[in-house]
Amino acid sequence: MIDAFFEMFSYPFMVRAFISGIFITVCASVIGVNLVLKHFSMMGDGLSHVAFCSLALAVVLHQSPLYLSLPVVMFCAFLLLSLSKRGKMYADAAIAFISTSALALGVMILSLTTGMNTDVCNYLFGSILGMKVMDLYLTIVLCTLMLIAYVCFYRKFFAITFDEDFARASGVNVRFYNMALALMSAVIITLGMRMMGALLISNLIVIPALTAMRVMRSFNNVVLYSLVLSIFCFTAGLYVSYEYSTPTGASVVLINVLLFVLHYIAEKVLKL
Amino acid sequence: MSILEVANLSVSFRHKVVLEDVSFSLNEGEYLSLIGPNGAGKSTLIRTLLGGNQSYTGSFTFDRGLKSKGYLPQQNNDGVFFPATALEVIKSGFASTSRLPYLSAEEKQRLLETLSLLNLEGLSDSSFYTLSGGQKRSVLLARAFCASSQLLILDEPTAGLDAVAVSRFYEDLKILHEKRHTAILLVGHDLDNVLKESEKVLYLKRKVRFFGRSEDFLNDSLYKGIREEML
Repeated sequence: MIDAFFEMFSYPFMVRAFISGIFITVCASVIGVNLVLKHFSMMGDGLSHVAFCSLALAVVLHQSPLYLSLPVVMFCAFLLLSLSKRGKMYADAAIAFISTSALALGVMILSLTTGMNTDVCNYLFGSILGMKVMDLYLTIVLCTLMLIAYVCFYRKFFAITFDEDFARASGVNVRFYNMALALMSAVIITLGMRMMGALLISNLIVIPALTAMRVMRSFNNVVLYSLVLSIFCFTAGLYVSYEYSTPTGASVVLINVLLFVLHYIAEKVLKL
Repeated sequence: MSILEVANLSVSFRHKVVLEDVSFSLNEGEYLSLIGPNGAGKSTLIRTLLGGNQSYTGSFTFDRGLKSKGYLPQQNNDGVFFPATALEVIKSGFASTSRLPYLSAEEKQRLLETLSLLNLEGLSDSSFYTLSGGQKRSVLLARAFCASSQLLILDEPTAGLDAVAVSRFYEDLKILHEKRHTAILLVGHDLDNVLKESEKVLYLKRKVRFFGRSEDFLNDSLYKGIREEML
């Protein structure tokens, strides 16, 4: 088993997948804690549908899906937050509105042009083969920047997550930091959808945080434990995917779900 | 010297006037209670002062030296699980001023002083979620004091607390006011405690009906009318 584990790193594409996957899952798990506690869990799911729409557009225009999706998904994250914050629409309704509209548009574009080809399916359900060297560099740079920003503004992100009214009154620019969280989740969704799949990527944001919250009682520990869980789940998922030729995204998601169930049982049994 | 100056402030929602021509001032180290019946515009006034409402006429000015305001909101999702220790919650009081994830030496000093003043050292590592209603309010008061030792704005801080917790809360507030000369603007509903503790009273009913010293309010016909209504 250990030999097989190290053997998978003899393939350059596996090394690229592993490095970029670790960076993406770490960012997703850390920011996911704030998103889950702010009741923004569905934002990742909504944005992944937008990512699918921009992918369809990129396929038709013969453009790089990553570079086209990045600005489109970030713009939609901005739009989503603006719609719900102005009080014109409930946050969950705004997510449903944007996500279904984007999905319908994506399906329409594909049905009128290329149809559901293999490339589109790979983006929907994930593939580790498509990670190019440039994509890897972009992932490392963006994820590193996001992690630095999160650490630097950790106290501000905690304040807007725990109590927006207090944060606003004490002088924190709540709108700016909410927007930063939304844009960071948009970047994670876009970077991760190639490998994990547009339909599965939002899981990386939500489940590690939910699992960590079963057993940890301080915010700091939830963030750190969520990070550790996400690294473990991704590594285990990648190995299972390599060893048993299963889809990477689905493997990682199911291991995340399994760990959540185990933690849920542990919480009940140990009365944490 | 005044820390807050409100002049001719009026607020309307959907063509309905909620606050009309409100003027008052709060001096440094002063304790002012804001009272009035439900729907009098107390929370609207607080929300406007904290920047949560942009559609108003008139003006309000905070002292230029005031870096941050300590605020204790009316509702704090007491029943909703949030994974945080009491210490993490209190430290978030430094969110607006601290530029780094860790506290500066000065902030650490203020944190320790606050914990000691409010006797919260024993609760630091407790989960905020598992604290009693009164303990939660004390922790949130400490957070507000960390945000600003110059001005605290409290919106019905004792709502939903039992008599013992209410009494403990007002004791804590008195300590901060007397020992650290903190100015307090408190929206209160429990008239007896409010009038006993505060130096000044502002009675609001869309307009300012009374603004002056608490002793004067007790002798005012307005207070006698309110008392009779309550009985």
